[in-house]
Amino acid sequence: MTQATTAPDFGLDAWIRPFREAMAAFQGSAFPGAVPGAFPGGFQGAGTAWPWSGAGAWFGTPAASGFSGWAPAAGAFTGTMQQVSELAQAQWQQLMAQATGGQPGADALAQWRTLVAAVGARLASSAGPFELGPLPGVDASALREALSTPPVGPMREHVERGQRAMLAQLDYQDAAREFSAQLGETMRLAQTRLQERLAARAEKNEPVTSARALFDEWVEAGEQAWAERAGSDAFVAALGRFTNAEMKVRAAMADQVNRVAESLGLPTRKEVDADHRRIAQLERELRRLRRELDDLRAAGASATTRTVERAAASASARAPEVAATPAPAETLRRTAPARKAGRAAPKVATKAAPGKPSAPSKARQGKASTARLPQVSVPRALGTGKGNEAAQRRRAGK
Amino acid sequence: MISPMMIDPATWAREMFDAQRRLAAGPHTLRAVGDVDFGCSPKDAVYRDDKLTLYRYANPNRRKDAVPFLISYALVNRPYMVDLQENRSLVRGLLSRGEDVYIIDWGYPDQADRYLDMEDYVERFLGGCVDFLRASHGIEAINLMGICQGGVLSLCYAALHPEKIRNLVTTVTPVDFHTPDNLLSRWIQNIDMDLMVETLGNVPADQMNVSYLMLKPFRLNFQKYAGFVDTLEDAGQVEDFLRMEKWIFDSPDQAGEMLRQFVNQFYKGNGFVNGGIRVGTRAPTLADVTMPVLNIYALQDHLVPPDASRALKGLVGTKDYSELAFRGGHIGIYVSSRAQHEVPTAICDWLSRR
Repeated sequence: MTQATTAPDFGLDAWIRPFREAMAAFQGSAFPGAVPGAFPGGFQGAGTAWPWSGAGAWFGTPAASGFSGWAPAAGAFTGTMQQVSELAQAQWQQLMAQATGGQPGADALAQWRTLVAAVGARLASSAGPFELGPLPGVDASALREALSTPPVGPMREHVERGQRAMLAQLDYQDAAREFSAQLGETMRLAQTRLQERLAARAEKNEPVTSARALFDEWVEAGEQAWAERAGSDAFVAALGRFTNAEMKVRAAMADQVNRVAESLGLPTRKEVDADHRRIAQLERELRRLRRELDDLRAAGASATTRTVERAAASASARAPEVAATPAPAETLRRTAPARKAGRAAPKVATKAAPGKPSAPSKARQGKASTARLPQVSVPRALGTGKGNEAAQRRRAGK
Repeated sequence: MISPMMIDPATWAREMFDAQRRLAAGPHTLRAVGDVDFGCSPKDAVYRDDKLTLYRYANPNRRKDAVPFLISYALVNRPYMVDLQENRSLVRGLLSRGEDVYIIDWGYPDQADRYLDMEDYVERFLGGCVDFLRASHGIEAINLMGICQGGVLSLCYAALHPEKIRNLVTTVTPVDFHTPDNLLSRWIQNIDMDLMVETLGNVPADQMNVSYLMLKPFRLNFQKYAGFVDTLEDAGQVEDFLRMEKWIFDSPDQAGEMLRQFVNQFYKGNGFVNGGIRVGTRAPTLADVTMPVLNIYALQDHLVPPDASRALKGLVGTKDYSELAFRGGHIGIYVSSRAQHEVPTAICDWLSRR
């Protein structure tokens, strides 16, 4: 049996509560002691790859609302719905007044405009969705000066890194405020466009006759304003500064995390990345060498000696480009997938690709070989033949 | 002059009541629908390279003379969009007309893939699939269809290896990245991609998705879900919605180096128009795309504006160039009911004449 609710919530609580509880439980267990909002964008600022990085940028700070994970969407949604709700509530009161003997008609549009203007004025008084203010009790310019002063002493390098990180944080706050102001202007423009659209409907004697139609008008007005503002030079510049500033903060924090990990003897992201870079380069080099080997084999035994010399000379001439000149790692392709799939290695085709140019001709062209022996098998089923992608992914352990 | 809003109190109350009823039904409907399935046509994995898998669709109607038709999807979304469900499947349309359809699944890159670059994707992955099909079918050239970003990769590959592509189909593929109506391109111009990739490594899919959603923020973040509430008492519609919702947000992270090169060369450098594209040490140019080309674009595409695609006509080297303007959006070109007949028919008719 379900318990009766004491106040109408239109069923929303049944939707929101499970997510809220799940997120609270998740945050409590995954980030014990974490302080949402301590870094720009919440957790993502700490380099934990919290996936709502961009969302935080767009919708607002997670700290502004109760729970970080859903805050980005929730913040915007709540704000927007509050506007609509206020309009709707006022409209309801107007309707009630009419129903109980009020005066509809001539001054109705004026009433409506007054109402919308009041909401717009309240919007105008807010800084925008980010609500990022300067650090309380701190003179930002003085802080900048202090952070720009070169440190001295045995710990100067550490201090300087810390200064740079804090300056990046200040830059981020400035950029966030600037971008937030752009978003705020866009929302105010949306409000203006909504008024205009409704006024136009009144003049055409086509009033809005349902809540849904009002909502759709609001959406259209919003998109209209967005189309006008989001491509403007000021908006684009603010977005660029904001995104770049966030990246700098994250980079500074990742650097600090790397250093802490290194001091504890733990492998760092930086080290792993370096290995990945080397592997990618080695794979490209391996593919290039295999391609040249295939070319040499195809050139025939009689020309092998001359070709080797020419290819070696060519490879030597290209040596500085090796890192930036990847080539497919045919060996890996031939064997690794079959092992991964737990099946026998696919058969390797033995015939040369049609139209394959000779190695000497490519060497004369002085560019990477493009027609190579496909290290492939005949088409054969590696899977089960079922078309259900979800099932295939489950089987693959995704 | 009348009031702009004349909502009858009874109408208002009914709307509120209906919305409450649907919202109350929502959790039950969602639980009844459960997890959605996607990808409706049987297919076999025929080739793998690391995380890439090449699939071949089973087709009892396959023509004996059918040339392999390889679909190269974008990296930013999953390829099952072209075979989403039975009544929304471009692939089904192609299969029913006897085509031998293959599709590349690029997989989900992780941080081990952050240094994969344009050359890896064009020459190693796409080129590997093309060579596999050429060898396995014993033919010199195959048919290639590139979708969106996959179309850009296909154009690069076709320019570098025109002898291996018999016919090229591009769908909603950006060519001129600097058309005035390309909002995404406008935003990217001031973003330091080098800094972003150095900082993040791979670029998270959620970050990409938020950018796409903010191209039409009111429609995609509010109106869409208001419409969803209207369907909450209909399990079939909810299932369709969830399937699309899954596709939208089931997005791979982007390999950092690849995205850096892609953004810098195309979004910023507008390489197809201005030149300067590098794939490894080679410089593809559209003048070298000499095979027949069919370019399909969507007239209401907010991600790839029509002019961005139409630019191909003036740049491509072939004399056999055709266009199809589809009345729909970036996704509607694959999933709308009109597309189910119009698009595969256009492709197959065009191919059959070549």
